[in-house]
Amino acid sequence: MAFSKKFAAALAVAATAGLVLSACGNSKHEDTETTTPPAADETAAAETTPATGDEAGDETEAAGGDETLTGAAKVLADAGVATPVALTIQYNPDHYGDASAEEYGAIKEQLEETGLFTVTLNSTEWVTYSQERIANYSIYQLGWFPDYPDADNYLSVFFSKDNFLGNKFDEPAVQALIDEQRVTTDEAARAELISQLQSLVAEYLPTLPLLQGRQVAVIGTNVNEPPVLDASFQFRFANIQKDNDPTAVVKVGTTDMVTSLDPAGSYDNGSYLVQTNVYPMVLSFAPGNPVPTPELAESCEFSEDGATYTCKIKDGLKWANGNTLDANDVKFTFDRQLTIADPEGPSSLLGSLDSVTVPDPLTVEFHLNAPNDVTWEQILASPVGPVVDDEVFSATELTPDADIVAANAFAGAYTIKTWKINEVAEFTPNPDYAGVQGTPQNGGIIMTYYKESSNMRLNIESGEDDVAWRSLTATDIASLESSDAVEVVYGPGGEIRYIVFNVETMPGDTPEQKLAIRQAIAMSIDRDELSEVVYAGTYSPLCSYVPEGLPGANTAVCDLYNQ
Amino acid sequence: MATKQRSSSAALLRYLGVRLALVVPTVLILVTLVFFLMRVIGDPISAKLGGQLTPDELERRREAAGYNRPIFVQYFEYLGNVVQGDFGTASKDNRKILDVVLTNGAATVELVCWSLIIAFLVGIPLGRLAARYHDRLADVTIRFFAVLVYAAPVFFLGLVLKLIFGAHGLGILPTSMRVSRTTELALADLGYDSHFMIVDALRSGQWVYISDVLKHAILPAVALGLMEAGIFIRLIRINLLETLRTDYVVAARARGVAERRVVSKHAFRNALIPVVTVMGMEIALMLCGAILTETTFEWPGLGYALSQYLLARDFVAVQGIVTAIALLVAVISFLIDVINALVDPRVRY
Repeated sequence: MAFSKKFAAALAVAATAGLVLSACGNSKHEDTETTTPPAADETAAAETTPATGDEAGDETEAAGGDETLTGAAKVLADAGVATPVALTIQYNPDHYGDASAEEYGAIKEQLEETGLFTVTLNSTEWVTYSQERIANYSIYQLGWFPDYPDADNYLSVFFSKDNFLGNKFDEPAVQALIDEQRVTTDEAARAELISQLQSLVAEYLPTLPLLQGRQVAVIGTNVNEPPVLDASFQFRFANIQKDNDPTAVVKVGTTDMVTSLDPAGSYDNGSYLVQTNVYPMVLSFAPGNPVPTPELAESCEFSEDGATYTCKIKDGLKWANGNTLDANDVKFTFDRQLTIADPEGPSSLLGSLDSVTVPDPLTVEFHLNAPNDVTWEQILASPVGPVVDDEVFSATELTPDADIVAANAFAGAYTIKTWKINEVAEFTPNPDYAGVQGTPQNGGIIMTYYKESSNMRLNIESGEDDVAWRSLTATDIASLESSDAVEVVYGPGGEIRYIVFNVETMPGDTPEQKLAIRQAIAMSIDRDELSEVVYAGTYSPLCSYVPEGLPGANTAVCDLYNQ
Repeated sequence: MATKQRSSSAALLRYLGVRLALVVPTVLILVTLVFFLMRVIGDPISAKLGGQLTPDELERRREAAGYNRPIFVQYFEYLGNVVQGDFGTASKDNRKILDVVLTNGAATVELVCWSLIIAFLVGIPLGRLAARYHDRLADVTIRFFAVLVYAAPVFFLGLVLKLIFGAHGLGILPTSMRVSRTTELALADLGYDSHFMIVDALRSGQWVYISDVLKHAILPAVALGLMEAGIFIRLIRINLLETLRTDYVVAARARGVAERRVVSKHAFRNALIPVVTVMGMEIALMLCGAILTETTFEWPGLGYALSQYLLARDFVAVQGIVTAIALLVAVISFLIDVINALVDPRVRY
């Protein structure tokens, strides 16, 4: 097996598409075995000249061994797949943005242009979609926003056996690499393993990466310090400033709604945004640095056997209400996450945590159920990581927002003065904060929550707001680019859009044919067109599984199928 | 005579008692329908986390939230809680439903009041004018206008108004929210939190806050109010025309009373009775329109909240809000019935 070992600076992150292949003329196969993909060299040779519409259009029947065929047509012919292959593609029009329909319309055109496929698009509202996708869809759209900015969060959850995709992909060689990279502490060696892993997955193609999002903020011309948009994917208030005035209050708009101020009861962008600005973490991300850095901790280290992660907590810390902030709060935080295990909370991220102990008030020990879990530091800095006040929060149930605000149970860069959930929130700088986000450079933040992004756009243009954060439409962003009243700032994005293949139920009579169909689809899709035409450049092509900007990112998929 | 009056009063009371009693089954039927319908179309956990959790984990969470229990168990538990005044907590944002209903309900009531003012200000004078200049150019123009504003979807009218008066047009009126954030937070700082923005602004006594509230209300009120004005124009016109043909009006004219006085003093008041009659239904209609208006203008009322909770498949919240709207409509209808019964003796039983 030859692996692509290119490390490329890939910037994309992407999100999803849903293709349901209906096997017109092809009987559905229930085989559980997967096939061995062709060696990368052979595959690459077969694809060095991707099929064009004209070339492929001439081929309507399987013609194994025909030397005149190239690219996708050859891959299908070699596997004995009769063309055109009838595909039904499932996408979702409401969860991944309004442009999904346009994106999948473009994919349908690209696939049909080859003459190798006929495509039927189906769309389903999100609630139904999320319930049906595993049982009933064999090729479908999905998107992903990471829990923590690490390559593992783009690999293990997707390609392990029993992954959340439910697409029956189970490849021992892939699983072995996933397991190995999780416990490889040497960064260079781990990056190499991650690259190998992506190259191997690219050969099997259980999913097809398409696009990578970018973080986009629109700022008024009076904003002299825009938010730092980095690969931690956190939106921090502290460094934003307008009118060169450190006392000026900055008005920010967003459409990311909040579920709860309690970190045990929420698992979404809107809640996490607020939490990262008002709660401290054991480890967090300093602006511009996507590597977790001690915040409440002075230092942290793994034990010799790698099974215990010990952190020394800074002395003399206080909550904004005067309560003591020490290791007991940290233990309380993680214990209550596991105890409450709220249906809408992030406790499932703590799968590797066995228990937490506090030998003294300034030391906390995390006992892990797998040694040297390199993702553990990332998990501490993820949505499950905001530390809460053990004298205010309940140990066994969610604490209401009103109680948290009334008790001033904050120790992040900001405290909350006024909280009208999903309408307006007023944040004031916390003078005692000395964490990694730095001293607030503004006099506070007023956050407005919009249901309609069009209203957010109007208010950033009119100057009612100073900053518009997630999410404006691609059309709005493209239009605002040319406005004199505002400036558009970008950062690397963690969001990806991709297609999921159910490797058992997708069209194809044998595992080999199914793989050939996946590969032919990969060869037929033009990511640049999707990026430019559909998303006006607000999404960029995603050429592998780990988005650009993270250690181990490469271009394995494009290298194999789109050169 | 006294006996006749007593029997009339008793009949009125009986009539109103029956109307009041009907509110309960009406609301119950509606709540029941919503309860079962919402459970057919998905649950909040799948809606939020369906794209990021394994099927087993999703199932575990649904189990933990109690959504896998027999539906009738859930139904009677819900009804039991409602009877005790506990409408539950929204899973989308953990808000108490009672708090949502009171806070957002105030916003909706305020919007409907502003819209009624617009509807009266536009509908009544134009209706009178149309009747007075029956079949002439003014009448035809006004009728055309009435049909236009009534037929135009509220959200479309809202979008047009936003385009004309918002940042992309004249830029003279705000296009979203009930009030600017700075005013809202300043009023909260002053301790005014009645949920009725205009009341809070008036209590502050500061013109800058009052004008801010009024400016924010104009576009939503016009969008919703014009729809209603279209109905009022046609109702008042047709009723006024009928009244103007009645004997007592003819008699007034014969006595040489000026036409203007005939319309304003003799015919107009009687022509208003049918308007009051349909008012209950119209207010219910306005609540429906308010859902679209509130969404268009980010007006945080019941409709705005309802649309968000519906998308999130938040059963508890949707049930609570629908119950609140049903109660609101039922109470308003009841009050209109009372007024009707008092002003029009023909309405009884």
